[in-house]
Formats: sequence, structure tokens, C-alpha cells
Amino acid sequence: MTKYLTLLKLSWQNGLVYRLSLFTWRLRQFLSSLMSLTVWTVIFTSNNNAFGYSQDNMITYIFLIAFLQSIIIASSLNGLAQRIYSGEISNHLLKPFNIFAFFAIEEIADKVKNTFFLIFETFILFLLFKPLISFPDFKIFSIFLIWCFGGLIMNFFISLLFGSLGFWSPQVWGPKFLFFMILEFTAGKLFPLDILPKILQKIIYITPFPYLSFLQIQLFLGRLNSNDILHHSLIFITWIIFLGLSTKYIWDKGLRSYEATGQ
Amino acid sequence: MKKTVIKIENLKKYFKVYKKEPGLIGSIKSLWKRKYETVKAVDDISFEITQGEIVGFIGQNGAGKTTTLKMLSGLLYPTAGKIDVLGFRPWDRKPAFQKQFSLVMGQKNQLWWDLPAIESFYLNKAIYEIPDKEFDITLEKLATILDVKDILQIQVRKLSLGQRMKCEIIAALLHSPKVLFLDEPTIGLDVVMQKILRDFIKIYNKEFGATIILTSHYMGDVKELCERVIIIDKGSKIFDGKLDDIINKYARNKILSFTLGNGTSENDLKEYGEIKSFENQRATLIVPRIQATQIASKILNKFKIIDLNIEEASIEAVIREIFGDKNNKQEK
Amino acid sequence: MKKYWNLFWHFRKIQLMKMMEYRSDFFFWMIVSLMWTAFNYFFYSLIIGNSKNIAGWSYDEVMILLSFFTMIDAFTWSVFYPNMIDYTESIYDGTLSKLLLLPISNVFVILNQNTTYHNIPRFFIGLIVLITTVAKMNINVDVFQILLATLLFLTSIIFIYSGWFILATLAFWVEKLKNINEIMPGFRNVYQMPVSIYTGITSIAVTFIFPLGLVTTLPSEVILGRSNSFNIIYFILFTFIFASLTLHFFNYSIKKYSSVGN
Repeated sequence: MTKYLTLLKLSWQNGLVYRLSLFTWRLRQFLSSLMSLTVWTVIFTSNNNAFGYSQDNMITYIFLIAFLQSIIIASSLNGLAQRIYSGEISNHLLKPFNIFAFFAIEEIADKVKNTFFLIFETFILFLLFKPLISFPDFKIFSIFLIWCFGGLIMNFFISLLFGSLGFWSPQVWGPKFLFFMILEFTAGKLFPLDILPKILQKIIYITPFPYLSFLQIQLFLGRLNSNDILHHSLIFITWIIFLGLSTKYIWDKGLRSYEATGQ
Repeated sequence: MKKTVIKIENLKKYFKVYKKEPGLIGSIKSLWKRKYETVKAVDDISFEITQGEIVGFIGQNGAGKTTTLKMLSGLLYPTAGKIDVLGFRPWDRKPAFQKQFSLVMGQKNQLWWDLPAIESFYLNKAIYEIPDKEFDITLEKLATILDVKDILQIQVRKLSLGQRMKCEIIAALLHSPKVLFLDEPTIGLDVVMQKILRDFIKIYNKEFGATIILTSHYMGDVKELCERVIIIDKGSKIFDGKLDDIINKYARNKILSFTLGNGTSENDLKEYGEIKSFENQRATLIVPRIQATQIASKILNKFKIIDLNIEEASIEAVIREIFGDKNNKQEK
Repeated sequence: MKKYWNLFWHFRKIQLMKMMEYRSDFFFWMIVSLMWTAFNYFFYSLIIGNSKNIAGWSYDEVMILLSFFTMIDAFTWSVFYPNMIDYTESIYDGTLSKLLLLPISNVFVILNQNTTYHNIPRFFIGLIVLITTVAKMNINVDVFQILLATLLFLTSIIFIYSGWFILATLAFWVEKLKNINEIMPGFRNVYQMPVSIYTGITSIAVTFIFPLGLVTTLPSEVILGRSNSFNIIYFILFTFIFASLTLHFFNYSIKKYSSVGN
């Protein structure tokens, strides 16, 4: 166990070397949240009700989802495919620890750093937009926390899956970019998914994307009834199991075909 | 009389290097406060090189060879000192200067990776404003000497390391530079390619009357190409002269090798010098340079010797000795 | 001058050959680019279509602004991004040295040598939407307006490229700046909307302190015939000063460039 703690410490320090990088990353996220909130504030100045959301609802929604997404979607594993392809992970594979635990630790260190900045950002956004936030009751809040954890796990698996492309090809930026692009429109940070036409909503709900933070926030805001909660929990668990098994299968395959290129 | 092409005086280059304190606290501290340390990469070097010379730069990793070359090409500003290359101050990076020299770094490439080498050549033609005719002649000549005519249309990434290096060199020489800096040109190449490149450098030097400075880890390169060598250690010049003079100046030992008649054992030889090998009555001894003849005659008197040779130590061994001596006293 | 003109086209040719080399990549990215453009128009029509009007801009007017945004974005991804990525990478791996040795302007090569072509359709989509929207709105646009809008569009391009260049040049000064090239794309969010949506401090920041908000608003306003001459002059002046500042910073940084590899 101590070796993993040491690892955690190391990857935290390693990340701090990239302090300006972290700053630029956060700045970008901050600007996109600021933009989203500004646009919605302006839209509601002319009408009090749009898409079944009141202004307060909408601002609270965007505010919360910006916060949650920063935690769930931020990942240290974006460069994973490159690291695999270049042979960099050979170093880790040779060492006596579980490589997935290693990635998880990098991920945790990264998220902690992000959260640290996020608190400042959120504070500024809070002062600027003054969202009304009321906490749900204990039961809902517990489910909310569990779902958030589920979102983290799911994003972890997805990152590993994208990373595993590096076992076979150097050109991995394309699919990843496509993923981010779809994510931007389907994860709900620009707008809540329920303002989309019904048919699009149906399609999006069968993908994992809404589970990466949209539904968590819907739950938090009390927009889901107990039927919905049960229904989504089931789909959520199915997705996590499916992605987990796929990750394991593909990584087993990948590691077998892995040629430790380069150094 | 030959013209002086390169002249440097009291050249210095100091770098500031960031030092991180160990541990978590250290890395948090380094968020806003960092400690720096000065490294003297080049510390007071002077020399002159005349037209047409091939000079070898020898030194260990980090001795300051590359730093000096970079200052000569205008990539680095010296901390102090004067540099004159072809009558220019390199760091002004005047086009007139840049059109007359070239720097080839073994590990870095200027060729466009995804395109055939010929495309990079055409680009250089445009950049260096080489007239059509001159370009054709030079390219033809270089490609013939290096035997790459039939690979110029193949994408660079599909070429072997050796072929790529040949193309790199062509790209660097298309504008017929008068001064050429070669930084580890043979690194990573196999023996055959090393030979081809060395031959090429010789030819280029003769045909174009080019002045060449070469750094290399392989003594082979230096031995074969350079009459003159400059040895740099920890930023200072410790030797500048003919390659052979290194031996006169630094070699402390000579090598005696001889074949003994039967009946002599290894132990009998111990008093005469350090035994390097003893096998089938054939012995090799390392003896102090000044006493070499003396010891040889002693041995001749005492034992039954079939044949005897006195040799100079190899240049590699001498250079190893110079550096070894400086860094590590207990080494031989 | 002729040399640079030739080199400019030489670079385009090389890049075209490179693109042909990776045709499937080209088509993939072109599809991504088109999808992105479609998503963008879709998103705006969704939210503005509902409220009819945003900060005093009608739906059609926002479409004009969005078209300028799309055209600038085409430049962002086909020129700024590949060049700046190459530039920062070459600073870190030391290959920039090679460039400094060439007998031509370094800035010219850095800003010019790369282009990708898959965003060209995007540029034309922007242009077509712009023209059809103007036609649909039935407004009169005279030659002077077109020239002024073009001038402002070019100014915007210089403004953004300068900003990007100055940020990328920080790579000389700061080690390990992985995503320096993510900042400008992040700023794009700001000029995706008319500047009038911003209020208070934010408004001052994006209009005067660093006039990002004017990038798309000014050319759109000119086309719509309601330009604000003070803002136009301010923006052009600002860009001019900013660009020369960037060049100075670059030259200064190059001087201090303690090349890597040691």
C-alpha cells in the first residue's frame, strides 16, 4: 500500500512541474463556463421562461454541471495512447505494481489538483452569477454521490479504452477529438439535454454521455422521480460493467501485442 | 598564406540551471520560488582556424563541444568573449553569413518527414536562393558521391537511418557552405556508413576547400579526418594541436610486446611493468614511456626473446587516460 | 519580396503534398470539421430560435456573426494551430535552432510553414451562410462596407494570430508548457457571441482591455450598417500596436534563447 501512496505523492509533484499547463487548462475551462453562463443569463433577460427552465433553474443547472464536469471529465490519461505507442509505459510495466492502480493514482492526483483550482473558479463564478443552490434530501444526495463516483469510474474506463488505441496505432488523436466534440454537445455543459428535440434525446440517452454528469445534476436538482432514478441506475450499472469488461479484454489483448518500441 | 576563417577569443558561456529541492515541500516551494545554479558550459576558450582545415573537437558529454558549436553558428549568445566567423559575428545571424555555413547535427533533422527528400532540397533552394544551374550541379555531384540518386523520390520516413543521414547532409550542403560544423555526424550509423561519411567529408573538404569542425564520440572519425584536434574538458581547452602530439604530450606509457622462449612464467615479468596479457608465451607489458628502451634491453638480456616490439599507446587509450585522470584518480 | 512570395507558395505546395500523403486523415478531419460547424449552427439556432433575440441581436444577425466566427475559425485550425504547435514543439526539442540558421525571416517561416486544408469547406460554409443571410435579410451592402468588413476581418486574424504567437513565445521562458496552444482556442468562446451580451467588468475586459469581443462583432456590425467608428479605430490601432509588441517580444526572446540540448 505504501508504494501506491508514494506514487500518489510523486504524480502530484510531477503535475506541479506543469503548473502553467494546469493553469492554462483551467483558464480554458473557466472561459467556457463563463461563456455558457453569460449566454444563458442574456437569453433569459428577454423571456422569463425558456425550454421549461426558469432563469434561476438554468443558471443553477449550468453552474453545477460546469463544476461537476470539471471533476469528472478532467483526465490525466489524455496522452495515454501516445505514451503507450512511444513505449514510455514499458517502464511502468516492468515494475511490480498494478498498472491500472498506477493510472488510477495519476488520475486521482490530477483531479485533486484540478479541484483545487476549481474552487477558486467556482467562487468567482458564484459571485458573478449568484446561482440559487438548494441541497436535495439526504437520500437523493447519497444517490447523487454514488452516481458521481460511477461517472468517475466510467470516464476512467473510457480514457483507458481510448488510450489502448496506442497499442496498435500512432494516430489516436482523431478518435479522441471526435469523442471530445461529441461530449461537448452531449454532456450538457452548453445546454441541458432536455431542451433538445425528443428524437435526439432518445439517441443521446442510449449513449454513456449523459451519465458523465448531466443526469447527476438532474438528480441533484430534483428533476428525476423514483422511477427515473431506478431506470437510469440500471442503465448506468450496465454501462459501467460493459465498459469495464471491454477495457479489461482490450488491454489484455493490447498488452499481448505490445511491442515495447523506443526506449 | 591561408586565411583565418574562425577566430574566437576568451569565449565563455554560462547557463543558469533550475534546481528543485527534493520532496513534496520542495515542489510546492518551487511553485513560486526557484533556486538557480550557474553552470560553466564553456569557460574561456580561444583558438583560430584557417581555411581548409578539418578540426576535431574532442571531449566527454557535457564538456562544452556542442555549446561552442552553437555559439559559432549564432544559436547561442556568448556570456563573454569574441567570435569571428568569416568576418561576421555569428549571433547577428545575417543572411550573408548564414548562406556561407552549415550545421549538421547527427540527431536532429531538417528534412520533412512525410515527403521525399528532394522536396526539402527544393525548399532549401528557395530559402538559400540557389540559382537553378548551381543547384542542379551541386545536387548531382553530392548525390553521386553519396550514392543516393535513386532514393531522392522516396519519403524520408521510409528511408533507413543511413540514407536519411546522407540526405540530411545533402540538404545541409546544397548551398555550398564554406564553413561546416558537424556535430556527431556518424552517431548511430553502422561501420560501413561511418566509412562512407568519412570519405565524403574528406572529398568535400578537398573539392570545396571548406573549413570543417567536427565533434565525435568515435575516435575513428577524428583519427581519419582531422590533422588537428582541440580537446575540451569541463568547458576549458586542454589541448590544441596535431593529433600525434597528443601522444607525445600525454602518453606516459609505451607498450612492449614480445614472445618468450619456454620456461618463463608470468611472475618473472612482474618487476618490469604492468602485465596486460600473457598467453602462449606471448606477453604484452605496459611500461613508463621514458624507461621503455631501458626496460626492453633489460628484458632482452635476461630472457630468451624471440621477437620484441615497442609501440605507442593507442590514441583512444591516451585520451581515455586524459579524461580518466581528470575525473577519477584511481583509474589507470 | 519575390523570394517570400515564392516561399509562401512553396510551403503551400509542400503542405498539399503532405495532405495527399495522408488522404484518409484529410477526409476524417474534414468530416469532423463539418460536423463541428453543423453542431455550432444547430446549437445557436436552438437557443436563439427559441428566444428570437439575444442582447439586441436578432436571429439573422447572430447568424451573420456566427459566419464570421466560422470563417475565422477555419483560419484558426488550418493556419494558427498547426504553425503554433510546430513552433512550440520546436522550441522544446531544440529543432528551432535549425530555423534560426536559415537566411530568411524567422517569423515568416514560423507563421507560415504549416497549413492544413481540411477546414477550407468550413470557411466556405461560413461565407455562404453569410451571403445567404444578407440576401434573406434584404439589406443593402455597398462596396465600402464590404471592403471595411474585409479589412476588419483581416485585422481580427492578425489580432488573434498575434495573441497566439505571443503566448506560444512564452515557451522560451517557461519549461514544460504542455497546453499553451489551448489558450487561444479557449478564448474563441468569447467572440462566438455579440460583444453586447457582456456586462460590467467582463464587458470592459473584452472590449477595451483585450478586445476579444470585437473580433466578430465589428465586421458583422459593418455589414449590418450600424458600425461604431470609435470601436473600429480602437480595434485597428490596438491590433497594430499589439502585433508590433509581439514581434518585439519574439525578437527579445530569441535573443535570450538558451538553446536546449545541453
